[in-house]
Amino acid sequence: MASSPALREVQRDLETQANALSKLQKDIAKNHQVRKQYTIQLGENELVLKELELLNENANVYKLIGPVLVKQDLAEANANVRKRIEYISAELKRLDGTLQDLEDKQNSKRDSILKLQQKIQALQAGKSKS
Amino acid sequence: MGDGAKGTIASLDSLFSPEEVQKAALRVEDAIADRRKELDRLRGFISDNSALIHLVRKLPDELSHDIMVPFGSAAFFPGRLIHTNEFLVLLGEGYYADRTAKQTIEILQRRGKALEAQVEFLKAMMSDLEAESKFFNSTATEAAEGLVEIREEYIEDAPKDVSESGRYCISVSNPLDSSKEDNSGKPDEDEVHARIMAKLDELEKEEIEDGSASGSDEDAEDSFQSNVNDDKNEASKIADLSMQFSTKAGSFQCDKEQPDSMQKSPLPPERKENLHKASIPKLEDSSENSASQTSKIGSSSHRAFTGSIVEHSHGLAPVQSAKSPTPEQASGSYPSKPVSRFKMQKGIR
Repeated sequence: MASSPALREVQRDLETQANALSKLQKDIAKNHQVRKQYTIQLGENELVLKELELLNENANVYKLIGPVLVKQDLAEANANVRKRIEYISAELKRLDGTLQDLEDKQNSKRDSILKLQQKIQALQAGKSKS
Repeated sequence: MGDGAKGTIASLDSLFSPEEVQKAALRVEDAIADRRKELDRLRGFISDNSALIHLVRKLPDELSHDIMVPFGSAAFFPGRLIHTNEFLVLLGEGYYADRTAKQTIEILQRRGKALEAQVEFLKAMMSDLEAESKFFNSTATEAAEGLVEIREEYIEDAPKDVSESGRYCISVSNPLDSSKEDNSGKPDEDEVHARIMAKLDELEKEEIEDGSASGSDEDAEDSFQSNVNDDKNEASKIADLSMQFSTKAGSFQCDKEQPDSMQKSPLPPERKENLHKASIPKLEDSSENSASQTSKIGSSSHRAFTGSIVEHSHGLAPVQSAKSPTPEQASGSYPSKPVSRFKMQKGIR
Protein backbone atom coordinates (compact mmCIF):
# COMPACT_ATOMS: atom_id res chain seq x y z
CA MET A 1 0.00 0.00 0.00
CA ALA A 2 3.04 2.21 -0.14
CA SER A 3 2.15 3.43 -3.63
CA SER A 4 -1.39 4.34 -2.72
CA PRO A 5 -0.74 7.82 -1.30
CA ALA A 6 1.46 8.67 -4.25
CA LEU A 7 -1.21 7.46 -6.60
CA ARG A 8 -3.83 9.54 -4.86
CA GLU A 9 -1.65 12.60 -5.11
CA VAL A 10 -1.09 12.10 -8.77
CA GLN A 11 -4.80 11.66 -9.32
CA ARG A 12 -5.53 14.88 -7.47
CA ASP A 13 -2.94 16.60 -9.59
CA LEU A 14 -4.55 15.25 -12.70
CA GLU A 15 -7.93 16.50 -11.61
CA THR A 16 -6.70 20.04 -11.11
CA GLN A 17 -4.93 19.97 -14.42
CA ALA A 18 -8.04 18.74 -16.17
CA ASN A 19 -10.04 21.56 -14.58
CA ALA A 20 -7.52 24.09 -15.76
CA LEU A 21 -7.65 22.63 -19.25
CA SER A 22 -11.43 22.82 -19.42
CA LYS A 23 -11.26 26.42 -18.25
CA LEU A 24 -8.76 27.20 -20.96
CA GLN A 25 -10.97 25.58 -23.53
CA LYS A 26 -13.89 27.67 -22.35
CA ASP A 27 -11.78 30.77 -22.68
CA ILE A 28 -10.79 29.82 -26.18
CA ALA A 29 -14.40 29.27 -27.17
CA LYS A 30 -15.33 32.67 -25.73
CA ASN A 31 -12.46 34.25 -27.57
CA HIS A 32 -13.67 32.72 -30.78
CA GLN A 33 -17.14 34.09 -30.19
CA VAL A 34 -15.88 37.61 -29.58
CA ARG A 35 -13.63 37.39 -32.57
CA LYS A 36 -16.50 36.37 -34.78
CA GLN A 37 -18.53 39.33 -33.60
CA TYR A 38 -15.70 41.70 -34.29
CA THR A 39 -15.17 40.35 -37.77
CA ILE A 40 -18.83 40.88 -38.54
CA GLN A 41 -18.63 44.44 -37.28
CA LEU A 42 -15.53 45.04 -39.31
CA GLY A 43 -17.30 43.89 -42.44
CA GLU A 44 -20.26 46.16 -41.70
CA ASN A 45 -18.06 49.14 -41.07
CA GLU A 46 -16.20 48.60 -44.26
CA LEU A 47 -19.49 48.51 -46.10
CA VAL A 48 -20.54 51.78 -44.46
CA LEU A 49 -17.27 53.40 -45.35
CA LYS A 50 -17.66 52.39 -48.95
CA GLU A 51 -21.15 53.86 -49.08
CA LEU A 52 -20.07 57.04 -47.35
CA GLU A 53 -17.33 57.53 -49.84
CA LEU A 54 -19.86 57.20 -52.64
CA LEU A 55 -22.05 59.97 -51.22
CA ASN A 56 -21.87 63.53 -52.49
CA GLU A 57 -20.42 66.29 -50.44
CA ASN A 58 -23.76 67.84 -49.55
CA ALA A 59 -25.61 64.63 -48.73
CA ASN A 60 -27.36 64.50 -45.35
CA VAL A 61 -25.91 61.88 -43.03
CA TYR A 62 -27.48 60.98 -39.71
CA LYS A 63 -26.25 58.91 -36.83
CA LEU A 64 -28.69 57.03 -34.67
CA ILE A 65 -27.80 57.76 -31.06
CA GLY A 66 -30.20 56.05 -28.76
CA PRO A 67 -33.70 56.93 -29.97
CA VAL A 68 -32.76 60.04 -31.94
CA LEU A 69 -31.21 60.65 -35.28
CA VAL A 70 -28.47 63.22 -35.05
CA LYS A 71 -27.41 64.97 -38.19
CA GLN A 72 -23.73 64.63 -38.83
CA ASP A 73 -21.24 66.12 -41.15
CA LEU A 74 -20.24 63.72 -43.89
CA ALA A 75 -16.53 64.24 -43.24
CA GLU A 76 -17.07 63.68 -39.56
CA ALA A 77 -19.02 60.49 -40.17
CA ASN A 78 -16.30 59.31 -42.52
CA ALA A 79 -13.60 59.95 -39.96
CA ASN A 80 -15.63 58.24 -37.27
CA VAL A 81 -16.11 55.13 -39.34
CA ARG A 82 -12.43 55.04 -40.21
CA LYS A 83 -11.50 55.30 -36.57
CA ARG A 84 -13.92 52.55 -35.71
CA ILE A 85 -12.43 50.26 -38.36
CA GLU A 86 -8.98 50.96 -36.97
CA TYR A 87 -10.12 50.14 -33.49
CA ILE A 88 -11.76 46.90 -34.55
CA SER A 89 -8.68 45.82 -36.48
CA ALA A 90 -6.50 46.47 -33.45
CA GLU A 91 -8.92 44.55 -31.29
CA LEU A 92 -8.87 41.62 -33.68
CA LYS A 93 -5.10 41.57 -33.62
CA ARG A 94 -5.12 41.58 -29.85
CA LEU A 95 -7.64 38.75 -29.80
CA ASP A 96 -5.45 36.76 -32.18
CA GLY A 97 -2.53 37.19 -29.83
CA THR A 98 -4.46 36.05 -26.79
CA LEU A 99 -5.92 33.15 -28.73
CA GLN A 100 -2.45 32.00 -29.69
CA ASP A 101 -1.37 32.29 -26.10
CA LEU A 102 -4.35 30.32 -24.88
CA GLU A 103 -3.80 27.60 -27.41
CA ASP A 104 -0.17 27.24 -26.40
CA LYS A 105 -1.24 26.94 -22.81
CA GLN A 106 -3.84 24.40 -23.76
CA ASN A 107 -1.31 22.26 -25.56
CA SER A 108 1.12 22.31 -22.67
CA LYS A 109 -1.69 21.41 -20.27
CA ARG A 110 -2.73 18.57 -22.49
CA ASP A 111 0.81 17.26 -22.54
CA SER A 112 1.10 17.39 -18.78
CA ILE A 113 -2.23 15.61 -18.41
CA LEU A 114 -1.08 12.89 -20.76
CA LYS A 115 2.07 12.46 -18.72
CA LEU A 116 0.07 12.24 -15.53
CA GLN A 117 -2.19 9.63 -17.03
CA GLN A 118 0.79 7.55 -18.04
CA LYS A 119 2.19 7.91 -14.54
CA ILE A 120 -1.05 6.70 -13.04
CA GLN A 121 -1.12 3.75 -15.38
CA ALA A 122 2.43 2.85 -14.45
CA LEU A 123 1.60 3.14 -10.77
CA GLN A 124 -1.48 0.98 -11.13
CA ALA A 125 0.45 -1.62 -13.09
CA GLY A 126 3.12 -1.69 -10.41
CA LYS A 127 0.48 -2.05 -7.71
CA SER A 128 -1.30 -4.92 -9.41
CA LYS A 129 1.99 -6.76 -9.86
CA SER A 130 3.14 -6.42 -6.28
CA MET B 1 0.49 -14.24 -47.37
CA GLY B 2 3.13 -16.86 -47.67
CA ASP B 3 6.08 -14.74 -46.57
CA GLY B 4 4.59 -12.73 -43.78
CA ALA B 5 7.80 -10.86 -43.16
CA LYS B 6 7.20 -8.83 -46.27
CA GLY B 7 4.20 -6.82 -45.17
CA THR B 8 1.46 -6.33 -42.65
CA ILE B 9 -2.27 -6.68 -42.94
CA ALA B 10 -4.62 -4.63 -40.86
CA SER B 11 -8.33 -4.64 -41.29
CA LEU B 12 -9.82 -1.18 -41.65
CA ASP B 13 -12.19 -2.26 -38.95
CA SER B 14 -9.41 -2.25 -36.40
CA LEU B 15 -7.82 0.95 -37.65
CA PHE B 16 -11.00 2.98 -37.59
CA SER B 17 -13.61 1.67 -35.26
CA PRO B 18 -17.09 2.00 -36.77
CA GLU B 19 -18.33 4.14 -33.90
CA GLU B 20 -15.54 6.61 -34.36
CA VAL B 21 -16.16 6.84 -38.06
CA GLN B 22 -19.86 7.29 -37.43
CA LYS B 23 -19.12 10.05 -34.94
CA ALA B 24 -16.85 11.84 -37.34
CA ALA B 25 -19.40 11.53 -40.13
CA LEU B 26 -22.09 12.86 -37.83
CA ARG B 27 -19.99 15.83 -36.86
CA VAL B 28 -19.35 16.70 -40.46
CA GLU B 29 -23.04 16.28 -41.19
CA ASP B 30 -23.80 18.72 -38.41
CA ALA B 31 -21.37 21.21 -39.83
CA ILE B 32 -23.00 20.85 -43.22
CA ALA B 33 -26.44 21.37 -41.71
CA ASP B 34 -25.19 24.56 -40.04
CA ARG B 35 -23.83 25.84 -43.29
CA ARG B 36 -27.05 24.97 -45.03
CA LYS B 37 -29.01 26.98 -42.49
CA GLU B 38 -26.68 29.89 -42.99
CA LEU B 39 -27.08 29.57 -46.72
CA ASP B 40 -30.85 29.58 -46.39
CA ARG B 41 -30.64 32.71 -44.27
CA LEU B 42 -28.51 34.42 -46.86
CA ARG B 43 -30.90 33.36 -49.60
CA GLY B 44 -33.70 34.93 -47.57
CA PHE B 45 -31.70 38.15 -47.38
CA ILE B 46 -31.14 38.13 -51.07
CA SER B 47 -34.81 37.66 -51.89
CA ASP B 48 -35.72 40.39 -49.38
CA ASN B 49 -33.20 42.66 -50.96
CA SER B 50 -34.46 42.09 -54.47
CA ALA B 51 -38.05 42.63 -53.31
CA LEU B 52 -36.99 45.89 -51.70
CA ILE B 53 -35.23 47.00 -54.84
CA HIS B 54 -38.39 46.28 -56.77
CA LEU B 55 -40.47 48.31 -54.29
CA VAL B 56 -38.08 51.26 -54.22
CA ARG B 57 -38.07 51.32 -57.98
CA LYS B 58 -41.86 51.55 -58.07
CA LEU B 59 -42.46 54.04 -55.28
CA PRO B 60 -41.45 57.23 -57.07
CA ASP B 61 -43.79 56.37 -59.93
CA GLU B 62 -46.60 58.02 -57.99
CA LEU B 63 -46.59 61.27 -56.10
CA SER B 64 -48.26 59.67 -53.07
CA HIS B 65 -49.40 56.23 -51.93
CA ASP B 66 -52.28 55.24 -49.72
CA ILE B 67 -50.91 52.95 -47.05
CA MET B 68 -51.71 51.48 -43.68
CA VAL B 69 -49.35 52.99 -41.15
CA PRO B 70 -48.33 50.73 -38.32
CA PHE B 71 -48.98 52.28 -34.94
CA GLY B 72 -46.98 50.47 -32.35
CA SER B 73 -47.20 46.73 -32.68
CA ALA B 74 -50.93 46.51 -32.21
CA ALA B 75 -52.68 48.75 -34.67
CA PHE B 76 -52.62 50.28 -38.13
CA PHE B 77 -54.30 53.39 -39.36
CA PRO B 78 -54.74 54.64 -42.87
CA GLY B 79 -52.27 57.19 -44.10
CA ARG B 80 -50.61 58.60 -47.12
CA LEU B 81 -47.05 58.19 -48.24
CA ILE B 82 -45.65 61.40 -49.68
CA HIS B 83 -42.16 62.44 -50.77
CA THR B 84 -41.91 59.16 -52.61
CA ASN B 85 -38.46 59.97 -53.91
CA GLU B 86 -36.81 60.57 -50.55
CA PHE B 87 -35.32 57.72 -48.59
CA LEU B 88 -33.45 57.56 -45.36
CA VAL B 89 -31.18 54.60 -45.88
CA LEU B 90 -29.51 52.76 -43.05
CA LEU B 91 -25.91 52.26 -44.05
CA GLY B 92 -25.07 50.18 -41.01
CA GLU B 93 -23.50 50.93 -37.65
CA GLY B 94 -26.26 53.46 -36.93
CA TYR B 95 -25.43 55.68 -39.89
CA TYR B 96 -28.25 56.89 -42.08
CA ALA B 97 -28.17 58.90 -45.26
CA ASP B 98 -30.77 60.80 -47.23
CA ARG B 99 -31.01 59.32 -50.66
CA THR B 100 -33.19 59.40 -53.73
CA ALA B 101 -34.87 56.27 -55.03
CA LYS B 102 -32.23 55.82 -57.71
CA GLN B 103 -29.34 56.14 -55.29
CA THR B 104 -31.09 53.79 -52.89
CA ILE B 105 -31.39 51.18 -55.59
CA GLU B 106 -27.69 51.49 -56.25
CA ILE B 107 -26.91 50.94 -52.59
CA LEU B 108 -29.22 47.96 -52.43
CA GLN B 109 -27.66 46.44 -55.52
CA ARG B 110 -24.20 46.74 -54.01
CA ARG B 111 -25.50 45.01 -50.92
CA GLY B 112 -26.95 42.26 -53.05
CA LYS B 113 -23.56 41.71 -54.64
CA ALA B 114 -21.93 41.36 -51.24
CA LEU B 115 -24.56 38.81 -50.31
CA GLU B 116 -23.92 36.84 -53.48
CA ALA B 117 -20.24 36.71 -52.68
CA GLN B 118 -21.05 35.35 -49.26
CA VAL B 119 -23.31 32.72 -50.77
CA GLU B 120 -20.53 31.60 -53.11
CA PHE B 121 -18.13 31.32 -50.21
CA LEU B 122 -20.61 29.23 -48.25
CA LYS B 123 -21.22 26.97 -51.21
CA ALA B 124 -17.52 26.28 -51.61
CA MET B 125 -17.28 25.51 -47.92
CA MET B 126 -20.23 23.16 -48.13
CA SER B 127 -18.80 21.27 -51.07
CA ASP B 128 -15.61 20.81 -49.08
CA LEU B 129 -17.53 19.46 -46.13
CA GLU B 130 -19.59 17.20 -48.33
CA ALA B 131 -16.46 15.67 -49.80
CA GLU B 132 -15.24 15.08 -46.28
CA SER B 133 -18.45 13.38 -45.22
CA LYS B 134 -18.39 11.26 -48.33
CA PHE B 135 -14.92 10.11 -47.41
CA PHE B 136 -16.05 9.26 -43.90
CA ASN B 137 -19.02 7.34 -45.18
CA SER B 138 -16.97 5.37 -47.65
CA THR B 139 -14.49 4.56 -44.91
CA ALA B 140 -17.31 3.40 -42.69
CA THR B 141 -18.74 1.13 -45.36
CA GLU B 142 -15.31 -0.21 -46.22
CA ALA B 143 -14.66 -0.99 -42.59
CA ALA B 144 -18.04 -2.68 -42.37
CA GLU B 145 -17.29 -4.76 -45.43
CA GLY B 146 -14.13 -6.03 -43.76
CA LEU B 147 -11.71 -4.42 -46.11
CA VAL B 148 -8.10 -4.84 -45.10
CA GLU B 149 -5.16 -2.56 -45.48
CA ILE B 150 -2.02 -4.23 -46.73
CA ARG B 151 1.22 -2.50 -46.13
CA GLU B 152 4.31 -3.78 -47.81
CA GLU B 153 7.73 -2.23 -47.74
CA TYR B 154 9.03 -1.64 -51.19
CA ILE B 155 12.39 -3.33 -51.50
CA GLU B 156 14.17 -3.04 -54.76
CA ASP B 157 15.17 -6.60 -55.51
CA ALA B 158 18.44 -6.22 -57.32
CA PRO B 159 19.47 -9.50 -58.88
CA LYS B 160 22.67 -10.61 -57.20
CA ASP B 161 24.08 -12.05 -60.38
CA VAL B 162 24.22 -8.67 -62.04
CA SER B 163 27.32 -7.70 -60.16
CA GLU B 164 29.05 -10.73 -61.50
CA SER B 165 27.90 -10.61 -65.09
CA GLY B 166 27.03 -6.93 -65.16
CA ARG B 167 30.49 -6.03 -66.24
CA TYR B 168 29.68 -7.27 -69.71
CA CYS B 169 26.51 -5.47 -70.33
CA ILE B 170 23.07 -5.23 -68.85
CA SER B 171 21.19 -6.53 -71.83
CA VAL B 172 23.29 -9.64 -71.76
CA SER B 173 23.43 -10.20 -68.04
CA ASN B 174 19.77 -10.89 -67.43
CA PRO B 175 19.32 -13.56 -70.06
CA LEU B 176 22.56 -15.03 -68.85
CA ASP B 177 21.24 -15.39 -65.35
CA SER B 178 18.05 -16.99 -66.45
CA SER B 179 19.80 -19.38 -68.77
CA LYS B 180 22.20 -20.31 -66.05
CA GLU B 181 19.35 -21.25 -63.86
CA ASP B 182 17.55 -23.05 -66.63
CA ASN B 183 20.29 -25.38 -67.69
CA SER B 184 23.11 -25.32 -65.26
CA GLY B 185 25.00 -27.78 -67.41
CA LYS B 186 26.18 -25.09 -69.82
CA PRO B 187 26.93 -22.00 -67.84
CA ASP B 188 30.42 -21.63 -69.18
CA GLU B 189 29.29 -21.62 -72.73
CA ASP B 190 26.78 -18.94 -72.02
CA GLU B 191 29.33 -16.81 -70.35
CA VAL B 192 31.87 -17.25 -73.07
CA HIS B 193 29.22 -16.47 -75.61
CA ALA B 194 28.30 -13.32 -73.83
CA ARG B 195 31.88 -12.26 -73.66
CA ILE B 196 32.38 -12.86 -77.31
CA MET B 197 29.25 -11.00 -78.20
CA ALA B 198 30.41 -8.08 -76.12
CA LYS B 199 33.79 -8.22 -77.73
CA LEU B 200 32.27 -8.37 -81.17
CA ASP B 201 30.12 -5.37 -80.56
CA GLU B 202 32.95 -3.46 -79.09
CA LEU B 203 35.25 -4.05 -81.95
CA GLU B 204 32.58 -3.17 -84.43
CA LYS B 205 31.99 0.09 -82.69
CA GLU B 206 35.67 0.82 -82.70
CA GLU B 207 35.74 0.39 -86.37
CA ILE B 208 32.66 2.39 -86.96
CA GLU B 209 34.17 5.22 -85.02
CA ASP B 210 37.28 5.11 -87.06
CA GLY B 211 35.21 4.97 -90.18
CA SER B 212 37.81 2.76 -91.70
CA ALA B 213 37.33 0.25 -94.46
CA SER B 214 38.18 -3.44 -94.34
CA GLY B 215 41.81 -2.53 -93.83
CA SER B 216 41.17 -1.23 -90.33
CA ASP B 217 43.10 -4.07 -88.82
CA GLU B 218 45.65 -1.64 -87.47
CA ASP B 219 43.03 -0.52 -85.05
CA ALA B 220 42.63 -4.00 -83.75
CA GLU B 221 45.16 -5.30 -81.35
CA ASP B 222 48.54 -5.98 -82.86
CA SER B 223 48.58 -9.65 -82.06
CA PHE B 224 45.65 -10.23 -84.37
CA GLN B 225 46.76 -8.22 -87.31
CA SER B 226 48.20 -11.08 -89.17
CA ASN B 227 45.09 -13.13 -88.65
CA VAL B 228 42.79 -10.52 -89.94
CA ASN B 229 43.97 -10.48 -93.47
CA ASP B 230 44.38 -14.18 -93.64
CA ASP B 231 41.06 -15.28 -94.95
CA LYS B 232 41.53 -18.92 -94.35
CA ASN B 233 42.69 -18.42 -90.86
CA GLU B 234 39.78 -16.26 -90.10
CA ALA B 235 37.25 -18.55 -91.63
CA SER B 236 38.50 -21.45 -89.59
CA LYS B 237 38.33 -19.35 -86.50
CA ILE B 238 34.81 -18.38 -87.25
CA ALA B 239 34.04 -22.02 -87.65
CA ASP B 240 35.59 -22.66 -84.27
CA LEU B 241 33.64 -19.90 -82.78
CA SER B 242 30.36 -21.05 -84.17
CA MET B 243 31.02 -24.62 -83.15
CA GLN B 244 31.86 -23.48 -79.70
CA PHE B 245 28.50 -21.83 -79.34
CA SER B 246 26.55 -24.19 -81.44
CA THR B 247 24.17 -24.82 -78.58
CA LYS B 248 22.82 -21.33 -78.70
CA ALA B 249 20.19 -20.25 -81.12
CA GLY B 250 21.06 -16.69 -80.25
CA SER B 251 24.54 -16.98 -81.58
CA PHE B 252 23.12 -18.26 -84.77
CA GLN B 253 20.88 -15.27 -85.06
CA CYS B 254 23.81 -13.01 -84.62
CA ASP B 255 25.83 -14.76 -87.21
CA LYS B 256 22.98 -14.74 -89.59
CA GLU B 257 23.35 -11.03 -89.78
CA GLN B 258 26.95 -11.24 -90.61
CA PRO B 259 26.77 -12.94 -93.99
CA ASP B 260 24.52 -10.09 -95.15
CA SER B 261 27.05 -7.51 -94.25
CA MET B 262 29.73 -9.67 -95.69
CA GLN B 263 28.20 -9.45 -99.07
CA LYS B 264 28.53 -5.74 -98.97
CA SER B 265 32.11 -5.91 -97.90
CA PRO B 266 34.81 -6.40 -100.51
CA LEU B 267 35.65 -9.92 -99.48
CA PRO B 268 37.02 -12.69 -101.59
CA PRO B 269 34.28 -15.13 -102.59
CA GLU B 270 35.96 -18.12 -100.99
CA ARG B 271 35.70 -16.42 -97.68
CA LYS B 272 31.98 -16.06 -97.99
CA GLU B 273 31.71 -19.73 -98.68
CA ASN B 274 33.66 -20.50 -95.59
CA LEU B 275 31.43 -18.31 -93.61
CA HIS B 276 28.32 -20.04 -94.81
CA LYS B 277 29.84 -23.35 -94.08
CA ALA B 278 30.64 -22.20 -90.66
CA SER B 279 27.14 -21.14 -89.96
CA ILE B 280 25.48 -24.23 -91.29
CA PRO B 281 26.78 -26.75 -88.78
CA LYS B 282 25.83 -24.34 -86.12
CA LEU B 283 22.29 -24.27 -87.30
CA GLU B 284 22.12 -28.00 -87.26
CA ASP B 285 23.58 -28.22 -83.81
CA SER B 286 21.26 -25.69 -82.42
CA SER B 287 18.30 -27.51 -83.85
CA GLU B 288 19.49 -30.66 -82.19
CA ASN B 289 19.78 -29.02 -78.88
CA SER B 290 16.65 -26.97 -79.17
CA ALA B 291 14.56 -29.85 -77.88
CA SER B 292 16.35 -29.81 -74.58
CA GLN B 293 16.43 -26.06 -74.46
CA THR B 294 12.85 -25.00 -74.64
CA SER B 295 13.35 -22.87 -71.60
CA LYS B 296 16.26 -21.15 -73.24
CA ILE B 297 14.29 -19.76 -76.08
CA GLY B 298 13.24 -16.81 -74.08
CA SER B 299 16.78 -15.97 -73.15
CA SER B 300 18.01 -16.57 -76.65
CA SER B 301 15.60 -13.97 -77.86
CA HIS B 302 17.29 -11.63 -75.46
CA ARG B 303 20.55 -12.58 -76.91
CA ALA B 304 19.16 -11.75 -80.27
CA PHE B 305 19.01 -8.27 -78.95
CA THR B 306 22.73 -8.19 -78.40
CA GLY B 307 22.91 -9.40 -81.95
CA SER B 308 20.71 -6.54 -83.00
CA ILE B 309 23.43 -4.16 -81.96
CA VAL B 310 25.29 -5.68 -84.85
CA GLU B 311 22.55 -4.34 -87.05
CA HIS B 312 23.62 -0.81 -86.31
CA SER B 313 26.77 -1.46 -88.19
CA HIS B 314 24.86 -3.19 -90.91
CA GLY B 315 25.68 -0.84 -93.69
CA LEU B 316 29.33 -0.66 -92.75
CA ALA B 317 31.75 -2.78 -94.60
CA PRO B 318 34.48 -3.77 -92.14
CA VAL B 319 32.50 -6.27 -90.15
CA GLN B 320 34.84 -9.08 -90.94
CA SER B 321 37.78 -7.56 -89.21
CA ALA B 322 35.66 -7.10 -86.14
CA LYS B 323 34.76 -10.71 -86.17
CA SER B 324 38.12 -12.11 -86.97
CA PRO B 325 40.02 -11.28 -83.84
CA THR B 326 37.19 -12.40 -81.66
CA PRO B 327 38.04 -16.03 -81.04
CA GLU B 328 41.40 -15.24 -79.61
CA GLN B 329 40.28 -12.16 -77.83
CA ALA B 330 37.54 -14.11 -76.23
CA SER B 331 40.18 -15.75 -74.13
CA GLY B 332 41.98 -12.46 -73.64
CA SER B 333 41.20 -9.66 -71.23
CA TYR B 334 37.62 -8.57 -71.67
CA PRO B 335 36.51 -7.30 -68.34
CA SER B 336 37.76 -3.82 -69.03
CA LYS B 337 36.52 -3.75 -72.59
CA PRO B 338 32.76 -3.73 -72.18
CA VAL B 339 33.05 -0.45 -70.38
CA SER B 340 34.37 1.14 -73.47
CA ARG B 341 31.70 -0.60 -75.41
CA PHE B 342 29.06 1.49 -73.75
CA LYS B 343 30.95 4.57 -74.61
CA MET B 344 31.01 3.42 -78.19
CA GLN B 345 27.31 2.91 -78.20
CA LYS B 346 26.81 6.43 -77.01
CA GLY B 347 29.20 7.75 -79.60
CA ILE B 348 27.28 6.13 -82.39
CA ARG B 349 23.83 7.22 -81.37
